[in-house]
Amino acid sequence: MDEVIQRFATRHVRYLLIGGQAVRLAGLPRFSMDWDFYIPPRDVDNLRRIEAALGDELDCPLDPLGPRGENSIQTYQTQWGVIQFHLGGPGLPPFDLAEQHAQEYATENGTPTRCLGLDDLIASKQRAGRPQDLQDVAYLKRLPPQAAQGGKPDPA
Amino acid sequence: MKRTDDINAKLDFWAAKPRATALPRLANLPRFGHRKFSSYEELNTWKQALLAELVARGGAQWTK
Repeated sequence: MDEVIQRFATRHVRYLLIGGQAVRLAGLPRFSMDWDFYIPPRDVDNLRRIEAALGDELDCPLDPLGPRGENSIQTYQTQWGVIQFHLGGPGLPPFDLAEQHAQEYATENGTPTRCLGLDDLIASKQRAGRPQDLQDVAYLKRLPPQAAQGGKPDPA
Repeated sequence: MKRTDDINAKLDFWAAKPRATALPRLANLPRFGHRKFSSYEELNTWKQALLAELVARGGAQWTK
């Protein structure tokens, strides 16, 4: 998935990694089937940059959020794994606000990855409320202050 | 109780020195085309069906 993150960076894609993979990059060894990216819901130029970044791996163009919540989650199976784009969702602040609180974590290969800020990630997990989410919250609340303020995980 | 049996001890351990850990990937997820959902309820219903199909095919296989 590092390649996807690098392609996003090259194309100046606005995204925030959320969900289980964000928790994993924050240091909890936990499985997640999907890579969940929060993206601005009606930034059409950004949607086109994502499509350019991922090329033929997207078998259908991304759509902006509809007036009744249509397209709020868009899922694709790619060579890198399952990628889900979230254009909103329970517990998520407006994207522009979330972007201001973004936190950078490195993947296990050292690729810098923009993630939902710690407080927002905790709030989204609390809202989801499944057993795994609550365990994620228990972990995230234990993180030391330097990690909570956007420190990069130790690559060792 | 062994430390490895205590989830709180494990969470403390991981949080004390957080770093991303590589985990295996699902190697045999059934193929599917794009999906667009209007709610998490729709997403979760579809995902449960996908996982049921995976189980029906003999369960998950993992790769790095």
